[in-house]
Amino acid sequence: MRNPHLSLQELVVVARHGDGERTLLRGVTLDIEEARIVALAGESGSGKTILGAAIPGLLPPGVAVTGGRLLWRGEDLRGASEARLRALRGPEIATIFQEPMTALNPVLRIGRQMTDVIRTHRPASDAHTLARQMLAEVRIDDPAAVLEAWPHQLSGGMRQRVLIAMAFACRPALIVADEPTTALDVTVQAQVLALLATLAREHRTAVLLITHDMGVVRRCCDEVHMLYAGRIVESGPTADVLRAPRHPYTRALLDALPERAAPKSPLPALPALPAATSGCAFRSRCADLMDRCHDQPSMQPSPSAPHRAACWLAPHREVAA
Amino acid sequence: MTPPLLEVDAVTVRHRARSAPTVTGVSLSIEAGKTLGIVGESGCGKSTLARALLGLLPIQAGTLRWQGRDITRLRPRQRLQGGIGMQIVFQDPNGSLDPRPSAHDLIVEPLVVAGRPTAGVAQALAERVGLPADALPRRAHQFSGGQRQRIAIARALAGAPQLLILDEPTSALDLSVQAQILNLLLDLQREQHLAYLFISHDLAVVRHMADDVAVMQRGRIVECGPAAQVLHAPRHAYTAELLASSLSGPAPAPVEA
Repeated sequence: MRNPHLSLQELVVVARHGDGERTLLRGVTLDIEEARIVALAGESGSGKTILGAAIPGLLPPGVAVTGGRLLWRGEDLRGASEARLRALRGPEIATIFQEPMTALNPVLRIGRQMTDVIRTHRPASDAHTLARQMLAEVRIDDPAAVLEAWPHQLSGGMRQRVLIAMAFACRPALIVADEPTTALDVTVQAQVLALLATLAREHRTAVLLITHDMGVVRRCCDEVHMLYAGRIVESGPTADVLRAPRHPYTRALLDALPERAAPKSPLPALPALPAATSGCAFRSRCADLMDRCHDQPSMQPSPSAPHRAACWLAPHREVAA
Repeated sequence: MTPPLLEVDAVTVRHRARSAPTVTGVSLSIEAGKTLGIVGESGCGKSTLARALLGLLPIQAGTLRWQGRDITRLRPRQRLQGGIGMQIVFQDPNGSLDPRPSAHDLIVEPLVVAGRPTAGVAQALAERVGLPADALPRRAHQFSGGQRQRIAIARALAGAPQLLILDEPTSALDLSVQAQILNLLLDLQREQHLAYLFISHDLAVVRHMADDVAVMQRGRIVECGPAAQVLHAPRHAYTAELLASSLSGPAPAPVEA
């Protein structure tokens, strides 16, 4: 039995450009246990895609982990060689990225791409049979036809299903899935995410699902981590976080959902302001600002752990909830 | 009695591309200043219908009336000259805005095409949709998704339309940005008495924005009525199924802090 246990400890990621640098992740701590579906939620620019890329060692050029630890089953991947990372990617940590078109090679048939991946990591297996099985598992009606198809002949939703099939083909312990934000029609996106969650449950695969959609979080995920300006500001079981959010950022996002408002009434929208550069990053937009917020609050310990938030007021919100 | 702003009467649209969804015998009407929501799964024909209404796809059967006048066979240019004030805002402002021209040129392009004066128009529209003062010389890729959607809305408003077709206008946006854009659309509607055809998969957003809702399945309208009725007490089994499978189901109750 595999026991995927990813542990990020105070992870810092920095982008260097020219002679300047920008900190993208400012000390991220989170654990992913075996077979858990964990959401990483946050708005554009919060650093969630960078976090997803850092785990399998796929950060873009000029961006690097400069602090903290990235433990995969106890092994710190920060010092891992490229050869070691390549061996991990696929059979242990698989990735599904945003653009299903660019993730597939346009000049190879689907079948060839799938069997290549399978043979790289499972040399003894009957790759063709396994590819067919995987396509059937992702609810593709005619696997034989899809194996013969070129990527451009498939719809965006079908391509994303193929990528999910490829991700599961090597039976990884963890899948990092960065949401298909722009490439897919939104309804297809919902179906594909539901499929991903179902397969993960069946195979007991852990998933880190990166998303900005709180509906997806609610429907698919056991736990949620809210990322704001490169820091985790709230973590906990999905139901607890959504029912009684303790960080004002999480609360503001949930308040902005139209479900709670009277039809055609103005929605409470966060002011469009950049994150504060010192102290609590959210204080530039926070309605409950206090003097203390000039100091960055750590995750406030909670008697009802594991639901915690990085806000001075979080313990008080807990009492009220 | 005044005829509706846009009347869709038993319209059928068939794509030449075999795989594209078709629209079969769809009837709808949109009143000035009101919002009609259209919901349905991917591939149900929502976007095909939107393109046909704009004159971008030929209509095989049925009639399209604009304030009572038959516009079924009018091509986009004839519509422009004929004062048919209908514009569209797409889901993904990244893909729908040309990356090369400045925000200023994107906004006034519909006026340039129509040979109308453009002086000062972009400034006024940019201010109205909440773009920063220094936005106009910049290009689309220099903006965030929410800002690009504001540019797309300003561009759609340039021709002083009476009807905006909004095709998943906030689906690619962050939640707090979605709230800002929905608020902007509601303000603009009140100020300018705009009608909206609001296409979305997100039933909560449609419930918030729409007066009436039409539910599409396989190219047909299966249910249509006041938003509160259709989305709270659906009569058609498919609508009930759509509500049950919606990712944006009822939210958890608010918590006092």
